[in-house]
Amino acid sequence: MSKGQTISEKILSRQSIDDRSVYAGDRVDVKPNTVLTNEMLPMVSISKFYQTGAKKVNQELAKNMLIILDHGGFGTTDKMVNFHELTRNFASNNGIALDDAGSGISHVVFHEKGFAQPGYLILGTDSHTVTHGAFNSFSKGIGGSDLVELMVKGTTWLDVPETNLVRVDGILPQHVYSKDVLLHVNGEKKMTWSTDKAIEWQGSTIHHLSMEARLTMSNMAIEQGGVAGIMPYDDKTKEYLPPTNRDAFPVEADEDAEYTEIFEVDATTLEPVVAAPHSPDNVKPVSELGDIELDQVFIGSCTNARIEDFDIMAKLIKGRKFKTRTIVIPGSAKVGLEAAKKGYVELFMEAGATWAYSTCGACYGGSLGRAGPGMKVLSTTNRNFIGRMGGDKTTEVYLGSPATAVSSAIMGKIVSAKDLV
Amino acid sequence: MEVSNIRGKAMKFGDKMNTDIIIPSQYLEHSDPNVYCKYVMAAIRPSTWEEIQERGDTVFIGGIDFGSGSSREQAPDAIKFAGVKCVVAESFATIFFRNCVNVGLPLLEVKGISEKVDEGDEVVVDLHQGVIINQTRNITIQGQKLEPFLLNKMEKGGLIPELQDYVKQHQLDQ
Ligand code: SF4
Repeated sequence: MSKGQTISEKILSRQSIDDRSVYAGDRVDVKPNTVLTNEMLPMVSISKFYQTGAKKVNQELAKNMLIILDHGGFGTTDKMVNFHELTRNFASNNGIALDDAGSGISHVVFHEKGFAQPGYLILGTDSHTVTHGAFNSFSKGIGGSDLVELMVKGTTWLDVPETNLVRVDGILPQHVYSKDVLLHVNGEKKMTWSTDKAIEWQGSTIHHLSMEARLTMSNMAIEQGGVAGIMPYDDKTKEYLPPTNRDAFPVEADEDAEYTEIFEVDATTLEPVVAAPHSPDNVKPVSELGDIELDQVFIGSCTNARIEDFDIMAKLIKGRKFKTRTIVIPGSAKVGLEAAKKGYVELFMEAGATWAYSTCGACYGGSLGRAGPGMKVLSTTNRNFIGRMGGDKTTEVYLGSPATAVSSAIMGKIVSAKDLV
Repeated sequence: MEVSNIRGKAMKFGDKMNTDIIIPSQYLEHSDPNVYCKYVMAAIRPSTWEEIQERGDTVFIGGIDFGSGSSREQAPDAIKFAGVKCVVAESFATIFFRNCVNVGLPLLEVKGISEKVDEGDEVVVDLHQGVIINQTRNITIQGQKLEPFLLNKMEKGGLIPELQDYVKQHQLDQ
């Protein structure tokens, strides 16, 4: 009888080009279902692609590839304007779908457009490609040369990873969100916990969470070192996905699947936390931080800028004003439009926020809202490495949930929604 | 590409040298690696490129989780184009490791390396044997040998030369 398989082993078996059953430790040639790319394409991959001598992108791959211009903003610098134009030409010459600057962040737009489906093998030239694991897919970040290999051959090789399982059970206390769960695990297990491994999430808490809350958690699988962060499939997965003519292949792990480690979390004991400078695993309860006055609050990124995040913020603002300079960037133009229709843009701007067009923006110190030396920032993003958001060793970036971010903006210092008076 | 007799002076870095430290985002717009390599390790040791030009052949010695963070291939390219011959670290992040093989930047994982090499030591790395020799201290330290599959890619100079052969064989250049 064959051995039980994890979700990763099942998906990589299905996508192996010679149709074999693979297990952790195997190396396998695979064909991805869909491929994501961004400005890595013009900055690295296009010139390397032509260096290989190839003339045209593999046509089957081209049909399943989506380019999203998210990191470079909209008309920010001459160099970036040229990169974007180069990308448009490359996309149209090769029949590749493109979402232009301003459409949003790749890890929001990609699933809005139906490119992420249960059971899919998704590869993308961005480490946060792991986000799409929330849809019960194996979704992994690759480099610019790996993309070149895919564009030339339509296939690449992968090492089948071992899997760490995180089981979260119980109802989350009030004002504790999926970002807090994820950060809690980061704090306990640290950034190298899942290096070279996939992470699977199970447990009653996961099924209680909305898809958007799950996306926040899969997004940060890479901050635990994980090559993928995979959520179970249920009715919520099915309902959230947009109508598409793509097939879905929901996957469950076998009961006798082998896990390297199982980590249990009791959701009922959690409280709001932040990751303190300069690492996403330097996690502390907000209640133990003391007074940290803020210079800037940033709400945005592929981690936390979907409509549910804005619903949560809107409920907490209740006509109050922000004491701290605050920038809000929706995860996509679609999210931005929905926020406008719900009256949130007005609400956030009346509170004093700067509302910007959709891009990665301040998250990686790109086009908007860079931080400077000595500044203290609270951000809903996923990384607070030195220099990540601009600035230097003296710049302090704290990572928290949208509820913590908006409460802190109102109070001018880091507090959780519990402390909002 | 030379992988069995890599010589250089050690340049030491600590744990968790992530890609935002190796090549901060504001320099990525210089898409030419000959240009952005000047900003290698800019977030933590801005003089790195100049120091490498002065001391000549250099081997980076890192701690745990070298290269964590972004998938940006510009990180290994920046290290390579700055003139670094090899990166030896306690451990590497997954995507960075593969990017090094793809761009042909030799790397070796060696547990305990931080304590066995000091800044400026003369070292020799042999990827076939998976060892690093610290000539200054006269010690040989065994690391994690690269598998033949990866070593072979590295010796060919990375993924692009391999793909050039593939393109010719399959006449994709027509
Ligand atoms: S929002 Fe931030 S983490 Fe997400 S893709 Fe953009 S730069 Fe990367």
